[in-house]
Amino acid sequence: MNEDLETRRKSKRFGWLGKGVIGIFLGGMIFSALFFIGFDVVANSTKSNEFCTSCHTMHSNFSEYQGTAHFQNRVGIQASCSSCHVPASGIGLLWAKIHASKDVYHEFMGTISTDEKFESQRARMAQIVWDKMEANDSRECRSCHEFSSMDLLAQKPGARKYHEVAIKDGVTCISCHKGIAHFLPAAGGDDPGASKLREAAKAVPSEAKQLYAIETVPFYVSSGKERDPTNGKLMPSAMVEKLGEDGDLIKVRIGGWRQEGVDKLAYHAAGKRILNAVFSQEVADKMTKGKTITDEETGQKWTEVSTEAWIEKGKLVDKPQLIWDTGKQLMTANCGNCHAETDPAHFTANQWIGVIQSMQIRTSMNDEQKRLLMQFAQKHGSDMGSGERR
Amino acid sequence: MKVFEHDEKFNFNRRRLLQALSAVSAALPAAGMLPTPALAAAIKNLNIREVDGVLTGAHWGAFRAIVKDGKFTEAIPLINSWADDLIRGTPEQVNSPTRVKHPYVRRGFLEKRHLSDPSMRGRDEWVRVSWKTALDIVAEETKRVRTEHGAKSILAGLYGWKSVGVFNNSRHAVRRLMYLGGGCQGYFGDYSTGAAQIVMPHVIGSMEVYDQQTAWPTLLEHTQLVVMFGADPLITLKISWNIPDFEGYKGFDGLKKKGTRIVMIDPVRTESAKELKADWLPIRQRTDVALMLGLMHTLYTEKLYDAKFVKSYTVGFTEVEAYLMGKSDGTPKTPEWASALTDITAEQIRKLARDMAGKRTMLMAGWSIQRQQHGEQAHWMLVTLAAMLGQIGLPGGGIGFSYHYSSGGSPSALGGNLSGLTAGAATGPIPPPIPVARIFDCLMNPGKMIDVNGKKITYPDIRMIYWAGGNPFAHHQDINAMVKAWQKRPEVIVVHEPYWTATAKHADIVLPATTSYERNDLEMGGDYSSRYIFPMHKVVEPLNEARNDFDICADIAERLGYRAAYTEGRDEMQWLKQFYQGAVAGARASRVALPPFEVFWKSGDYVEFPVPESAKKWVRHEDFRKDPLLNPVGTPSGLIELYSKKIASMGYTDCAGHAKWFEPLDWHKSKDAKKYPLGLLSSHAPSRLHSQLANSPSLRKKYAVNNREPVLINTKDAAARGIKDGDTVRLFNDRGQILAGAVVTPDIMPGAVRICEGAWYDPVEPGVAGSLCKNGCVNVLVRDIPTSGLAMGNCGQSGIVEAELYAGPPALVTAFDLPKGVV
Repeated sequence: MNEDLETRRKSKRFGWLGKGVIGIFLGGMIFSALFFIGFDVVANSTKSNEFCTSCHTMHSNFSEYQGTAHFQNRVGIQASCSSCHVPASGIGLLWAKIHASKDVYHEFMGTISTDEKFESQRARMAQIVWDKMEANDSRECRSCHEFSSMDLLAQKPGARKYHEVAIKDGVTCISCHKGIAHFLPAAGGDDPGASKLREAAKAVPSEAKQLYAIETVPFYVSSGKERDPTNGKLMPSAMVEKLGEDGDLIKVRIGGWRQEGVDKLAYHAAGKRILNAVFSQEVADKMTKGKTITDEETGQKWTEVSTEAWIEKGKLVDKPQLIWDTGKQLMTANCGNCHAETDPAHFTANQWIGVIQSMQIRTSMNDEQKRLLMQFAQKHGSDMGSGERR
Repeated sequence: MKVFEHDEKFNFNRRRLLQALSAVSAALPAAGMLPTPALAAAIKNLNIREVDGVLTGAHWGAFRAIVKDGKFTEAIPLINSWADDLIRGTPEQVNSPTRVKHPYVRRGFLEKRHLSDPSMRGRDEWVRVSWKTALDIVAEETKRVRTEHGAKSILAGLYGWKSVGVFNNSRHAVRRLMYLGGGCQGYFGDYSTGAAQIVMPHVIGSMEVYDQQTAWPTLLEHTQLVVMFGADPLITLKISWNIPDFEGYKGFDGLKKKGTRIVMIDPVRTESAKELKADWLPIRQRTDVALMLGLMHTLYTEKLYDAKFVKSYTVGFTEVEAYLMGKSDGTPKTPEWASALTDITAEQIRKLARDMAGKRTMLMAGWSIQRQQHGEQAHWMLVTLAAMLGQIGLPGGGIGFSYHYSSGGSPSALGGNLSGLTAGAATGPIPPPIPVARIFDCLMNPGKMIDVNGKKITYPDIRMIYWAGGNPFAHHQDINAMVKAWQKRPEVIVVHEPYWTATAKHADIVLPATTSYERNDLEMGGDYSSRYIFPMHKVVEPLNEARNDFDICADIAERLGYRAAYTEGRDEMQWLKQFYQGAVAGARASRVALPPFEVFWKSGDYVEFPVPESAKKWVRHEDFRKDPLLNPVGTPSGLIELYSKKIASMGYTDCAGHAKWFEPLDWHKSKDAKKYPLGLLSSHAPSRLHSQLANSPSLRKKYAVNNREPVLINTKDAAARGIKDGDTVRLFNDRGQILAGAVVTPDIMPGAVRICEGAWYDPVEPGVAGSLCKNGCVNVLVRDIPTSGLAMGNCGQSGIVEAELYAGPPALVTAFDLPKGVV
């Protein structure tokens, strides 16, 4: 009996211990199961498009996405908000969901409650998403689109060409496919590069002889009160030689190359259509002519021309690099937004004209910005020699 | 103006579920005024059609169609305007007794095909045939003519105000059919702006007549004086090439409310002049150029012109100056000289010139002043006058050639444009097009060489005419000559028509087309603003045997062996979705989101794009004025060419290197004026779109006099001829004769009569040239001559006539009766 008691006690003791372990185990299991099921239920129900767009702030986002193939397509597969923006499951999803609670805070604070506020924050928000996708090698894209499963020959030649490069160089999806679901951020109207140049133009030493236009600048043939802005315009980055000063005006010599039959335009170099300046017919008729050469490739005649003119102070800098910095910024902000940034030496000076003209519509550059970018790209083109290269 | 009266009843019509979502940059000051997102609502409210009627539209506005017992009974305007009457008259179109109910072939043609007597056109008996027979004949004849005479003998896909709808564009549907078969003969230009659209690009680098105008809000803010030549905007704004946005009415009403002075130069005190309380300056017709010269002479001699603008922005003022002062031709163009031609006093001319120079002045021109002999000069001279005033490119100043049309100046919205059915690429060489209005000269004179715009063109030998979406027996001049041409050369004439128009009555084969209310389609709203995308939902099933233009052509393509290429394998909804995607892509580029096509279509509602504040401040030629070097106009010099070396080098006797005054054949000083002392005006009709809607009885009731087209005649002219208000009058000249109902009024100057164009041609003896037209088709009396060698535009505003009280046998109007053999 003692033995029995002992055994019973033991068994009781072990029983209690055993039950406790089992209990903890079972409880843990139930808790875990409940937690995971609960998380899964919550996570999944908060992954629906309906949930994502239940906040007012997401409406315009949603309608932008509705116009794309990711919302609707022939085969009926939809990449919903969550397909692209959160991991499919696991800790990553949990973390994303916890992180997303800040959205609730901002919804209540009204951080992006109007179209204007949304637009002012769009670039910042987009950059966060792009950075994340760059960092995780476009993980969510690749849950549907894998290079290994891609039938390249079924793609249009243009798309195929770039995908072949991307596979070879390990470029990630988002590097090229920005703006595929939502609108790209608009480039701001306030241009920090331009204001920096204006500051620099104020501090140019008066002895500097070679000066460069910071923007499209009018020039006048006389220094009198009758300043006629239709005499002519100097293009951004065009070089002029300083001859003197008079009050708020600087006297300069404007030079360039004129193509036979196109009197009113002067170009940066013979045969290269990098615009230096435009003139009224009257001014064009009175230009000083230099040597004439025949362009070997085209047989066109080009003549060196120059004229003296007056330019208001504060429009010229002495170091072209300052202008190129602004050009580079424009290139990064407007071109690198959608595709990998192109090396200016990828095209010739004349080719850049067509490239920028046709791409401008996809950017929000104004005409002034376009002209500066054009000069930057052209003067660093593959046929422009090292003197102008960065 | 009634356009602005919004009563309770119509409030629901303004409801709009699909507002395009804009992502306009915060830099735009107006962003706060943009519509807030309502897309989610659109997805959940798919039943609007049952409640409010079926949304569709026409050239005269968008409306909701009420259907009762399967019948289209009522059309309710979506936007109230002066065009409400046209919209209300639309159901009568669908249910009209004038409908072509079945396919028909002219008896002679059915029996002998191209060997039949062509002079029976217009008077032969009609035979009803099956669709199969009709399409077989058209396909066989197309093949035969192409094989025997080549692509240039087929004149197809021709001019006219085809119904709205980017898919069932009947002109393109026919052109597409012919292009896929190897090409066909085409035309260039139109009947509205034949002269201006050719001369303006030489002068100012763009057509101007179809270009966006300085935005109305800017005009209302800055303009101090509006001078309008030959336009009746409140009438012509009722219609639009697409579906109208009617913004022009708000503009003109704004001028009236602000009290901006408007001077209207016109032989008629128009509805617009009355409504806008404008100063009416009656002018002898066809002398507008002389008036402009008188004004310029005053500006020049009184040193009121802007010499600086002329120097910096134009070329050729030296030549103009020499002409103006009489150095080049011995006649100074003084106000006295102008007064003798225009019947406006020299003092009035001087005063107007001073007013123009002293105020921010907008010169608005209608197109009637260029739709006449030497029409090129009118718009060119007005640009010259505007250049002297020096206000081109300033807010509210300069020239405007499209304020009277399709609401030019309605600020451009931020969005995208629908694409549409195209003719596609021809599978064979396309012969050079002929000037649109020389078509009947071409029929009469195959092989003749003509000069136009510095080029020489040889007329082709036309054997087949295939017309859909047009009514040349209304829009072309000298109908009697046309009857002769039509009865001479072509071997086969095919017409698609919903109605038995005169054109249909003079064809060989008539195929019954659906009206746009019997088919699904899409159309933009606002020609200049591109502000709306309107769905055109089918209101009722096609009546009788009517079929859609696209489907008719697809069936013919099948018989010719290329149906798959014609349809591209798409059905109606797939085409519509494709055209909608064009707008989606465009809108996306402007950062505006559109709902998917299915959501848009099922909602039964329309899209309204946001109008940014910058668009309301837009000024025509502002870029050019700010920087003529970087933003040159599209002329050879990059400047406004008051003298064009290019035009001068063409060496035409009827168009010189600068704008000039030329005496017309028909005016009050021509030698025939003794025989025909009344100058003929053929304006746009108040209650029609050209010949469309003429067969709506409720509209006809509003204007018909004695059940005939009205003729405006001055009180004195009427008294001298014993004509009283309401009398039936015979008008005649060497070209023909018509009957009209007299409206005796002081609102037209003495020596002029006005009959609006578009009345259905209705000869006493069908098919006989020279027969009396009982229904007052004015083009019976108008010359078929070109404006000049430059543009070869039409001269709809030509003709002098005599009027007399009609004393002949009773001539009941039969224009709306069915022809012989038709049920």
